[in-house]
Amino acid sequence: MNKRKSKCLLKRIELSKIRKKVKRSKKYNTWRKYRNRNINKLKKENRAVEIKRLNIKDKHKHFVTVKAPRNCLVNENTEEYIEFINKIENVLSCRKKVFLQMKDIENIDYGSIVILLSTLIKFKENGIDFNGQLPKDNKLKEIMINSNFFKHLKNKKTDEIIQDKYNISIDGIKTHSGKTVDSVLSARIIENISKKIWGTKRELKSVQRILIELMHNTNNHAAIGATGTQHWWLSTKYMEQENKVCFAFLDLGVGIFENLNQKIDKKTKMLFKDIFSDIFIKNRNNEILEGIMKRQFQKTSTNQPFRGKGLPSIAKVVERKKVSNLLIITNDVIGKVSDDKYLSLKGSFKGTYVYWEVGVNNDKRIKKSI
Amino acid sequence: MTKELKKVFNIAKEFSKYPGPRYKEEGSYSGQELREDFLLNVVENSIMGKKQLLIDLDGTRGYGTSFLEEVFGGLIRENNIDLEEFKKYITFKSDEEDYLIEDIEEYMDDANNENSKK
Repeated sequence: MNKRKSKCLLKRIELSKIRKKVKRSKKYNTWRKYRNRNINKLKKENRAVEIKRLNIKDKHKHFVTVKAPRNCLVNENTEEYIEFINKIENVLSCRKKVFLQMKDIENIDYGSIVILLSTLIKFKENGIDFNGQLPKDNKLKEIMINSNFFKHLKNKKTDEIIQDKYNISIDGIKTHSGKTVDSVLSARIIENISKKIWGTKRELKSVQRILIELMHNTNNHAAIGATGTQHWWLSTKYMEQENKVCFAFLDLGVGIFENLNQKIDKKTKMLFKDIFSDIFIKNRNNEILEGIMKRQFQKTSTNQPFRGKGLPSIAKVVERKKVSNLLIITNDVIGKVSDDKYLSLKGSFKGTYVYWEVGVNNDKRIKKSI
Repeated sequence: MTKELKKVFNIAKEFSKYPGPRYKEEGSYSGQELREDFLLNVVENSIMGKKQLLIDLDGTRGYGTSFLEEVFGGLIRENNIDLEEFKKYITFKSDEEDYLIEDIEEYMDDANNENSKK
């Protein structure tokens, strides 16, 4: 009896598939007639362009379009750019396909490219399709095309979809990624960038310290309740005219304050009101970040007093002028550490982004090469 | 008059030029690995044998704060090394980053204070 039932069921499924196929082809044929009727009204020269446009539109019918801001500059146009990234993240959380409308971009900095790249890698890791339109501006188009940006993302080999480490070179921008603290990699990166700036390899222990601290923080705190699960991304670009190297470090975890909030809930804050000062209770995150950088708060999200020294040590590196223009963007705060300014953002960035520069003036020692 | 020969433990030569994270599971060349597998024996022998030991911090590519805290704060916190005895027989050398010694002393003092509270 069971064999007969299953045979009947299979037949029914096959029939419904055939019916759906016929229906789809009928639908397609009606659409094609409509399209051709409108195209035949156009001049011959314009017909091919119109067909292409309609085909693209139809191909991306099930994609959610997200338009990029004109100035994709995460350092200068932070609010707008974060809003753009958050929209992409929202599409990802709904497990829908995304189409990036980038044709009207006028400016893009490499920190923004790295954030975009690491966001799109998440789509790839989740097996969700994405696509986009290149900028109209030829210079920007060239940067995107000549790089391996889209090439890398288009790679369909399943073995390469989810990796622990990435090494990508984009038009002079070198990007590395990992999940653990890789002190050997950071030392190699420093050797390479110092060669660009000073002509010889140098040890930059302060920069090494910053990199170790940031990788450590990502490993320990980027995910709630788990360690070593989130990627960190480190990107460097040599700016030849200014003879300096720009660093962009990024993780797309929960961000510093989301992490703190998860571990220190409201009840605990109210119970220990004296210890957690007023700013913790009112969630003035920009003041909290300032306090953390200046070592005004000893406790950390781990509640272990011997920890929480990473961010203050980064602030000390800035104080000693071993790096320049250091800024941190996390959740709803932008901390311009070099300028001693800590500001609130209207939007919220899910993750932690740190940017800094190293130039000739950051290491004035006359030293032999290593 | 003969000078007492100090034993020297150079972290870059005896362990690694690339000190890494705090714990072993976080990456290679961790502070936990240095403390448990290399330094603890050397420190204990120095204290028990009443011999001077110099820990040389130079020659590496740079230290993270968590690494240093785990090594030296950890000796006090996890291995219950007596801080006074440690200071009697063990000294530091750091010509490349002179502020490291002050930081390490702070970590060890904090670890000692935490232990005394328990």
